[in-house]
Amino acid sequence: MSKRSPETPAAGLHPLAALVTALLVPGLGHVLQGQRARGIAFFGLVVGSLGVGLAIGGRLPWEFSGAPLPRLATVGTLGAGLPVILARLVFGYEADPTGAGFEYGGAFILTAGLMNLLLMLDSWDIAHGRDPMPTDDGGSEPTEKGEGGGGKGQAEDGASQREEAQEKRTKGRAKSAKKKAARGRQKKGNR
Amino acid sequence: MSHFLLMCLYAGIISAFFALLSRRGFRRQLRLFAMIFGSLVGGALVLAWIMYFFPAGPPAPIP
Repeated sequence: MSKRSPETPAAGLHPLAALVTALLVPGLGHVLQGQRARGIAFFGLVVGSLGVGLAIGGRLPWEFSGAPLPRLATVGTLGAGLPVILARLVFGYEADPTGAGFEYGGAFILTAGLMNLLLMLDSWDIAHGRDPMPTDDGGSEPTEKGEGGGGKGQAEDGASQREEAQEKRTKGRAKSAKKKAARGRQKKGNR
Repeated sequence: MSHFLLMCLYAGIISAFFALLSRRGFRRQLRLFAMIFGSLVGGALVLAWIMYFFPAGPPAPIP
């Protein structure tokens, strides 16, 4: 794949389309942008978390008015997209508040939504061509787009760049000192 | 399913998610997965042992 500047959108998928597809179906944004294995894995994790929460009778927040925290929880849960909407509106899921898994399952369900919100942002970044993956040495490894650089190599380059800048500054100071001396001699000569 | 198993399952899902999101390459992902999973489960066990020495208090009322 050819190199692209960080701000150039990826060919084939508009960033807004990447955002919307990632919202509707977890992992779909990644699949459509060529990261099929990751997209499928993300789908499995998000839907799996949602499934565990629903299976143990977890709380599915669905409040759109009233206190702010339940509304915030509803927004977070809706981040999981179509699976949550299907569970609530099509299958009519409602949890029993006295059930043993009500609170714990609620954590799984809310987490699924929040994970998908992160996936949306990642999908947006990939569509914009900003997809550096950090490596263990602090640098970033090349992605499918050919971006990225070394970590330790970058540190060495940084040191040599600092040395070059220091040299330039020293030379610049010497030049300006010479000019000042020359001007001083000129003034003395004019008097 | 016990609380502990559910906690491990939750930690596993979170760790796998962040490992896949933040790293490329199976070995790097596995390393990050192990770090996050260990921190979550280990941290929970440490907190549990700290709380063990505090008095339990009255049982929660049934709603």
